Amino acid sequence: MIVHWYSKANMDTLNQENRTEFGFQWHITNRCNLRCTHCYQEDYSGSNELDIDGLKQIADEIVRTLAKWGKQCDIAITGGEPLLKEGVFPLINYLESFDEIASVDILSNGTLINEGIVEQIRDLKKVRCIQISLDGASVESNDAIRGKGTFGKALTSIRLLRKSGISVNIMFTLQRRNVRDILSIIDLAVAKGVSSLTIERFVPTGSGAKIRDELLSPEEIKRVFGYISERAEQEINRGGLTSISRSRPLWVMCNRSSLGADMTDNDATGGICSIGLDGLCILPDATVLPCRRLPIPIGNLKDDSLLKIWHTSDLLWEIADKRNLKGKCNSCEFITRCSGCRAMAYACTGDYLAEDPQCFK
Amino acid sequence: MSEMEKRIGQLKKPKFRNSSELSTEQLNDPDFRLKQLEKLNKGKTTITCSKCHHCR
Repeated sequence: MIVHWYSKANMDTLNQENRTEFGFQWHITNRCNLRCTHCYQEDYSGSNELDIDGLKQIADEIVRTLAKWGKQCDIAITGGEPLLKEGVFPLINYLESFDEIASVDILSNGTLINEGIVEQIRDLKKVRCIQISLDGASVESNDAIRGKGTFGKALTSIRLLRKSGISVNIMFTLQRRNVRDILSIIDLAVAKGVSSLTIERFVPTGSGAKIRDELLSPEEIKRVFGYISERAEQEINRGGLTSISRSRPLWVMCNRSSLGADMTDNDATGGICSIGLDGLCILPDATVLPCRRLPIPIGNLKDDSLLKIWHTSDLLWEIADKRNLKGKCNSCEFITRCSGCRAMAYACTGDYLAEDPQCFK
Repeated sequence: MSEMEKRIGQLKKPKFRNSSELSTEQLNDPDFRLKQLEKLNKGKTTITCSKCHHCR
């Protein structure tokens, strides 16, 4: 049986009946009004981007492939800043017209959302969640990473979206300079009533390669994951509405069952990377990546069909076969429930099959 | 050019396996790799990455 684990609070919007079977993270533009220090992009020019007609052709290719597979998908529309793309709402309307597309999320930096935009989002039929990035729990810490004024704008966006009943996920990229904010960002997410908070490890790729010192050591990661886990459990126990996501590689080691207890359905910590298993990333010029933070092209939808990429990409076969992993990942008891972050391995060592350099096992 | 730079240079060009290297199932079943992993994991697989929008 294939099980997609969702945290308790996420089940409100992602119940078992609604669960989708494939995920695309689709970067429709690389233009952005921000220059966050840890960004995985380096090029913000918008050159070689597809226009809306070109993007619709990509949508058609996605739908044709899903129809052949008998699957549905979730598409996360992002950028750059997706709200800078002319025609983003007509594109989402177009996506919503296909049965094969079950839901759409919008991943935004939250600086351009106003009442007019919220109105347009509310009119969409399949939008499940809007993700807003925050990298600090205060003006000082957030704006030092994301730019002046971004904290206030992001909070205003969250307030407008919540006021309209739209689900919000906060994305926080964990790095040395914001590690002290970890508990206060959880408090903030809970206080703002967002559905979920995702805390993701910083991967030094793209512009972020210049700030490699921001990487936390395995011991530091272990300690921080411990704090997050404890706080997440408190939220679950008090029936809180905000889910604190612990569903990525390495988290399995904070799982109760990993500590000797029997695994239960509520024991939803940990998750294997989905490269080659159930998702792909598409860039603005139709280049396909295994994951946005693993910048190795595996095809381009202008030249290669999705079927060709999914079924014959050498890299996807290589990574999905976990027996190919090296170092301590290879002999790890959690290999089929974790397998480390391949993007982190590549960014730190140049070898995407190497062990996860932040693993604390 | 270092070995590392050479290797990264080679990775810029997508590499596809020849259909003759792959079985009919591998060429047609989109869940083939997932099922292989499931077998390794005694029937249960935890997939979450594409649901969490981690990349921002």
